[in-house]
Amino acid sequence: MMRYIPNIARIEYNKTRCKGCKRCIEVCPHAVFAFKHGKAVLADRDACMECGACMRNCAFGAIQVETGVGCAAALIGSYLPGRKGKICC
Amino acid sequence: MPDSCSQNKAPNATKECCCGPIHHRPSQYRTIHGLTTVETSAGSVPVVPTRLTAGDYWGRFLVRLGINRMNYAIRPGLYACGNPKSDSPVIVTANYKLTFDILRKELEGISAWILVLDSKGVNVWCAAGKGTFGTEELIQRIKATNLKRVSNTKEIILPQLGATGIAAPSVQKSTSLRVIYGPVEAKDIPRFLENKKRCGMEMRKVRFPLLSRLEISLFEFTSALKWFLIAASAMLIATSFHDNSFNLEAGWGISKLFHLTLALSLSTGTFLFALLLPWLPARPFALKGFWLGASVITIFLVFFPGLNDSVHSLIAISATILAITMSFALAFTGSSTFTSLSGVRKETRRFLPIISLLFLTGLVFWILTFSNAGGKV
Repeated sequence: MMRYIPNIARIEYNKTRCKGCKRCIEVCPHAVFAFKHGKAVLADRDACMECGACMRNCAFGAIQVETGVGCAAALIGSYLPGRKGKICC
Repeated sequence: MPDSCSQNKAPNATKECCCGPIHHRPSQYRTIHGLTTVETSAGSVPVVPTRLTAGDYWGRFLVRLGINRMNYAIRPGLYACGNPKSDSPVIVTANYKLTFDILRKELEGISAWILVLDSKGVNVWCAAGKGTFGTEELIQRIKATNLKRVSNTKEIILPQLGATGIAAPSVQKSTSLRVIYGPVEAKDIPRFLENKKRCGMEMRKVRFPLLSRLEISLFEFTSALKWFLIAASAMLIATSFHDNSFNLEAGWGISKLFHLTLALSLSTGTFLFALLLPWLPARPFALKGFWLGASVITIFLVFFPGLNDSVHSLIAISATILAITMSFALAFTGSSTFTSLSGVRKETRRFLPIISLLFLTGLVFWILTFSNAGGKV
């Protein structure tokens, strides 16, 4: 399994809000969440690619993810003067 | 959100970079061959064949090469496959024709309604990231097609990779339809349907297999090729000027090493990097690119020691191969399935200055190499 830079994904999970609906597990493409004792647990934070699907589908606001266009080209473009706010795709 | 869009990211497809600005629209809709129709209480619904034609495969081939990929869409709306009834499953997809074709060819023998969203001709994952394969479009399309008159379903099946753009709770509130996320890959849909619309955990994971990586690298290669040819031509012309005369043959003799370096760098940065990605050391892609570039330089020097004849050219070749390979490697983060924006930001900040310095070094030392060589002709 290919892994990326650890300890960097901006994902926050508030277990107290979890109602055990399993939506986050259903939508995550990298099995970041697992199900234990009736609630979701953050099982593999370093596998998170910040797509935000879990946050978008949690009806209880238990998850926060910092999403955004992440292609290096767009990032570099945003550092250049005059191109702030323009995303490539 | 995925690091970048992947125009070919239909289930079982690959990622590329950049699928155009958010407001881009295809200029025409493609024809689906072999359509029939079925009459419903919401009017005629086109029934699509589940066998693809040679024309479909040809279109797919062209798009994989990057030809006209921004203009390969079908009309959004409601379609059918097989002989669906009012209780048949409803499967939602994007209007990128490659996505649609990959989906329908897996539905052989299955009767279902297919709701095609207007994702502006972009595949599911990319469009979901951009917001065009989104909650609003889904709700609007359900209403516009009168889906509820055609089907009495209480649930709709969305591709899992659409989840980045679809808020299931909002869809349920607006339409009373429950969103069920199907497998990542279309090929798992038949098994998913048989299994009471439940997915095994393996069907929910996104992988990044060799074929996908190579498809991306092919697109990277063809996109970059024209710039490399321009750089090579510019160098050829520049080195052909000598003693107030213009001698192309002499120019070629001088700049051969540069062209070889460019060709090597391009191939290494695209194909070789994609091939070896799982085994390259270090987590940041730019660093993986560094190790790959360094290895290629070493092999090059060991097996072809005679080719480079000065310290100047040695530095020029090394700096260029490293700079180009690391650049492609960093860019590949945008086409990969497991990189995070935060990680890409970190490694861009860390390695972009180094890459820039390498390019500058390369440029300076090529000039030094060729100024010296000019005297040898």
